[in-house]
Amino acid sequence: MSVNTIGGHQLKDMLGVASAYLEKNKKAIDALNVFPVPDGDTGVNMSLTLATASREARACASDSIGDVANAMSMGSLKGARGNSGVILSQIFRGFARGVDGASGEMDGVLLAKAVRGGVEAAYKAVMKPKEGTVLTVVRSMAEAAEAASARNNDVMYVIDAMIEMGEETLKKTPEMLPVLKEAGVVDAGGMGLLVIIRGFKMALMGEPVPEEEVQITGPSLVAEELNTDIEFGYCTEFFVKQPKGNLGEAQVEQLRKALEKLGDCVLVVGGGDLLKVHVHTNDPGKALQHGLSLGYLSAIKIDNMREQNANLSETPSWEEEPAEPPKPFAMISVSAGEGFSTVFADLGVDRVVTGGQSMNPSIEDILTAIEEAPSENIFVFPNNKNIIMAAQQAAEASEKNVAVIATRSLPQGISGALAFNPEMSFEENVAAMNSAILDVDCGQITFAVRNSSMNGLTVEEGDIIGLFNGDMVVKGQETQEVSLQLLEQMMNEDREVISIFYGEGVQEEDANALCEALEERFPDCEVQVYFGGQPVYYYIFSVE
Amino acid sequence: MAARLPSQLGTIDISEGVIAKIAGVNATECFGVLGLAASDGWSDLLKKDSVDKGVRVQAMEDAKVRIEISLVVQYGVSIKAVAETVINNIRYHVENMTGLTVADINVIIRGIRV
Repeated sequence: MSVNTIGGHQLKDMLGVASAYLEKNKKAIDALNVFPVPDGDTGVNMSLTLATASREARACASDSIGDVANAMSMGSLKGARGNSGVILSQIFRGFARGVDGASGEMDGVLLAKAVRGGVEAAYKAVMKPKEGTVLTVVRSMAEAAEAASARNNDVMYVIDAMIEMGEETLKKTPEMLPVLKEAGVVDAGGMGLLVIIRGFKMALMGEPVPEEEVQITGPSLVAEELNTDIEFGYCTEFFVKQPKGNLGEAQVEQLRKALEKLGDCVLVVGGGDLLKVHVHTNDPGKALQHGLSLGYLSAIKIDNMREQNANLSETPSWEEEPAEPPKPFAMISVSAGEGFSTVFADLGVDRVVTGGQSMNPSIEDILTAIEEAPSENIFVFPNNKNIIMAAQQAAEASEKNVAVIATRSLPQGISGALAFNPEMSFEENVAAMNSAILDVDCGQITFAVRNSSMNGLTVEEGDIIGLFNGDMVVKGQETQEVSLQLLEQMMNEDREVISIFYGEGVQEEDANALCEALEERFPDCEVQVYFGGQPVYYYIFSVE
Repeated sequence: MAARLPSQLGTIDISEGVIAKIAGVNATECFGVLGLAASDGWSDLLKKDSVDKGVRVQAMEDAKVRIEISLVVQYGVSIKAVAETVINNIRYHVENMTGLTVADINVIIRGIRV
């Protein structure tokens, strides 16, 4: 559709529509601000400035383009608020100077001249113009307008060219200003200007102002409440895998911030080549899109929580467990096997979180256990160094008083739980547990899943390997032999107790045979066998 | 003279010149501000080197400061909006960088470039 020229009357309309459109999007633009002050309200400031400009323009008796533009300029000066408002008023001032005295209507060439006038006025009014801000965006728009008007004098064509160039430049602003890149946003002022020009186009096309807010590379704000209890309905969880392994703090922060704008309960954990992401949102698709920007997605799970909620309340036959009376303290432990779970239960652990095959419970699993535990004061034993961070995130997300005891292995978890003393205070318990876990070493026997070389040992797929506190130190062909070698390394005069936890797939007789062999080798030591039931590790040894 | 902040083992003194420079740098980043001005406002525009001329800082008790800043602005900007931006900007940066509290900021528009 072509609109050859713009008259004063149309300019008034354009300002009105742009003002309404900007008003609708002011919060979204505010959200892009990276400094809390002074320009924390770019959206609001530009909106108010434009609103006054629009009012003055409408109040102008004349319909000549020059007069209306002047009224717009004076109005914006009057209503200028904040840094962004002042810049906008300068752009309008230069624009008005560009059309001043023009008889008749504004065509593409005059529009380009006016925009260029706006750019010059804007740059003139600041001592140190910063690139990567609205200045850069408006300058690129002027260049696009000049080039476009030379090809085709139609105003609509020129405005389209301006919008296209503006969008492109806006996307590049994070490359120009490091603070934008860090925060993962484009420049707020630039976005505001783009919204205004889009508003102009809408007016010329006769389109009504759209109800939804403009999309700013993804984030959208408050969603309608379908259900008064659940604000963000889709529990969205997925892994982001990046084989290049380059997911650093910056990417994690960026993803987290983008997701925080989509909903709540945002958790992003991990780094390197794997991130685990969790968010409650009404736009699960957008959450997935954000994840996609960092790598490929895996294990995607999206649940409609409102539906789940509704289902639960509709089944009256669901028996409620009798509520446990609240206790002063509760312990939660991550467990990898049935046997371990029993051991923990015997030690008084209130909730066991199972991690499955890879012993990898989600933050949600841990958080659920925290919330269900019958106490406000909770100790959490992650029992695996990969889970410590997830446990800390879950602790932060909960309002209860939660201490994560950084246990890196199941034996450490057991000794931590043993250290619990209900007579002591919370802090005293934390201190006791932290000190107890240092005194236990963990040995693990498993098999190599691929060829590798580590710590001076070359290992082939299928070899039996022994790990001492997570480091591979021995290898061999046979579990008993490797176990003995491992324990040789782990034992010293101070150690008095060896506990053997045998995993699923290991016969009890074999475990007992190992026990006897160890008793023989280390006669001063007490050796015990327990059923652990863990997957993957034939044996887990606790040496203390 | 210096603004004084108490600390655990002694005091932290921040010279008024330092605060003046912080104020000056941040004011010149505000849109509409062409520069800082000392007395007559014109001859200073020619030598744009120092960033603290035209800024007067007075250290007060209780880690408070009072700042007075003289500016040259561009004709056609809303002087009120520019001044408010300058005030907010200076207060934010001085308070966050130094830990002092800004009790007053007075802005003097000494010159305007047409």
